[in-house]
Amino acid sequence: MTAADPTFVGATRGEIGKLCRQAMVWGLLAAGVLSAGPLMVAGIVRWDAPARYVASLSVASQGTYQYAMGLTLLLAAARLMGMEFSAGTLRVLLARGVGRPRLLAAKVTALCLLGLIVLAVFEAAALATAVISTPLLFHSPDALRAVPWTVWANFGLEGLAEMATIAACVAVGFAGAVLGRSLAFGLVVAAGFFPAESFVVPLAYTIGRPDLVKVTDWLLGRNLETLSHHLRIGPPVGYPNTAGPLSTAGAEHAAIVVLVYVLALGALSAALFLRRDVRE
Amino acid sequence: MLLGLVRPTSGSVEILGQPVSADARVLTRVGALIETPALYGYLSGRSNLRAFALPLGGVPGRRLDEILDLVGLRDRQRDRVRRYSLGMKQRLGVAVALLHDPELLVLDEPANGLDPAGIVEMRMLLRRLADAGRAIFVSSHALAEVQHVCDRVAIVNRGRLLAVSPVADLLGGGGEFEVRVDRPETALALVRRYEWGRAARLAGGLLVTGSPTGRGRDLLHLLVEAGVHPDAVAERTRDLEDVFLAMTGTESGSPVR
Repeated sequence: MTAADPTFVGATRGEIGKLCRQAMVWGLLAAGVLSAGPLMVAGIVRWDAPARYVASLSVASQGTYQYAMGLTLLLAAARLMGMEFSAGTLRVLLARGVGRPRLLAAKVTALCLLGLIVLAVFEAAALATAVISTPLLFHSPDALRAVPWTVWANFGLEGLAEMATIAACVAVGFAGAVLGRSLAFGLVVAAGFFPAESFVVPLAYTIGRPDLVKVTDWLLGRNLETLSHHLRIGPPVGYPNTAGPLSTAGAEHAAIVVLVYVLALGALSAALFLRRDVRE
Repeated sequence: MLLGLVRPTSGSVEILGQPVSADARVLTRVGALIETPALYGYLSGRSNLRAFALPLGGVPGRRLDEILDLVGLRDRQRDRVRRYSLGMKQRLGVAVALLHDPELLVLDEPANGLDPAGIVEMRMLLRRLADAGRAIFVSSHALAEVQHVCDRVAIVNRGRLLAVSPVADLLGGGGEFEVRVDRPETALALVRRYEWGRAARLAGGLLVTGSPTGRGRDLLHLLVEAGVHPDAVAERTRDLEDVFLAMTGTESGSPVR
């Protein structure tokens, strides 16, 4: 006799297994890193002084993560939830007594764990690159001493900002899939959400209302980009500001806007997932 | 509704003596296959079983082997499910339902979409499970299949339970006999003279009639005495479709809910 005993840990392990066996997840991540990484390094990294080099390296690493993992998490979240609807596996899981809250929490946890593990790998790789390459590039074993502690601290602060990216992407990916109860709808929402936001600025100019650019203060993508920019500490080291908003919004504003988006999308997903009948 | 997927607008459902709601614990004691088998196409058969088992605490590899053997998929366990035939998917769906050795197995249209060979495979699988002492609840519109597989049936029409009975009892001919004779019209006229023969009729060249005492030999005796010598007399049996149509008052082809 094999007694069934539903657990959160078991459900999370099941979701991690489903996630990790999707070739799409690793393919997207690899494609994102390979396409964004070289561009970030070429456009952002400064080679003239150790402090500027290490600081710009952390920005390039963060930008690559945000692009590659953001896209991966968006589509992976939409797929992890949407396929349950489209394949009908949701009814099998629920009919077996897995429980809706447990299943939803397991999916969120699995995706966040994936995001955090990849983030840790990115951070470790960026730090290791900085520590190993700085003395080599500047032909001095003391080159690292010229890097102020604030530059190193920014690696961690950017990590904090990336956690907001993880939460936002998972929330957007889930909301689309749960709202449309399908993989296709979820993927369309996940792939189109941030590009749709980016149309606001050209649209504002096209219709002759440049004042509408102020709306970007309230868009999720813009505030995610802004968050890490504002979280950095210490004197500016001269790397280009690639993450500034079109209008000026502070860190607190960005954090609140991101939080509101995550909570609102999370509440929408949870309410629909927990309450609606399963007819798929 | 039975498995907590849809909320009833009124009334309640109990399984194994426990109420069923969306997150009812009793569901962990039930295995279910609901219409078409829902599986992860990108995973292998074995990985599918693992993915469905983990949320309920997982099962040892030995148990996976047992179940794969039982449903006849051991040789194809490493293949991705998207490459499976419908019959194989259906059997894997039953395997998912069996993972935690449930007390009750609920199968909705288990023969849905299967070819004749697949239907026979599914029928044999269900028989093996039933013979091993498992309670199996099958919901189906394929009445011929139900007749083959089930021991007891419940007939539901438009949400009302019309009958619950062993299949053999339902299929009893109601005391009628099929008689093969040279002159069926003469025989029909003869039996219609009696009260018990009022409903007699011809069907496919055979005389279908009751008997004076409910026993075939008395009918035979009466016919022979009247100079009608039957070639064969057999108790008339009905199939489940006849019973269903008679009970629901519907004609073949008219909508049944």
